[in-house]
Amino acid sequence: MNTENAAVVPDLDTATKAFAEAVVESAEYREYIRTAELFEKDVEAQSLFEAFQNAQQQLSAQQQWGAGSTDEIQRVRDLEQQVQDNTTLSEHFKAQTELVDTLKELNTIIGEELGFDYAALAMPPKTCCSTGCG
Amino acid sequence: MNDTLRTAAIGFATALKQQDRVQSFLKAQELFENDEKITALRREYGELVQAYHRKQAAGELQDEDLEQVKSMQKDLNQHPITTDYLTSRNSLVEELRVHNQQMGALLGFDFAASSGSSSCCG
Repeated sequence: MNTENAAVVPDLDTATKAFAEAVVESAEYREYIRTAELFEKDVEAQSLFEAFQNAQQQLSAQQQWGAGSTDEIQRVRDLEQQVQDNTTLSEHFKAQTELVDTLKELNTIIGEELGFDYAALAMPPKTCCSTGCG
Repeated sequence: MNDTLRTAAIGFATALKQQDRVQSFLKAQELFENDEKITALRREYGELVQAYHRKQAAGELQDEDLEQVKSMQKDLNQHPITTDYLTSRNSLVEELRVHNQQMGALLGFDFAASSGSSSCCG
């Protein structure tokens, strides 16, 4: 690296910190944290979401074996509608979707600059976030 | 997306691109994707695999078909350009995973897992 480049390009630690700081200060991240905190305090929303997830899992397991009645399908649909109508949950999901969209866009920008997909290579093996992104 | 975020992302990528392992990988990737001999070998291998599947579906598969695929696969995998590419890729992946963990400590979540195309958050 020549002296001119060294003056322009920050070292990796500094650039990483600046990037992380910009992400946590972004409107999308702050909104995600705000709605996550509301969700953590809202016992009713938590119970509703848990009931929906349980019903969905039970139905999915039953359908794998060719079972699953119309009543059970209707129950999942009703709970899904209640989840969508719940302000705490809908705001939190909306914020999560917007944050993930922003993160994906950032990964695209980084990839265009690098010449390869950063997330695809940096991702830990067998990644799956069961508790959301936060 | 605001300009601060975009600028910070570009700054991060630019700094990362200066790293030796990134540079080695980019050179190896360029060769792997553009070298005439390796490109021809990859195309030939792809055609052979397709023919293998066609014969398999038609019930016309012979032992020599599998041997041919294995032999071509060996040639491809042992080609210096392929081994350089895979070695540099593995080395880069190792470094990026460590780096992603460090970034995760600053962010409070896993950036790569949340921003990748296979992200189950989105």
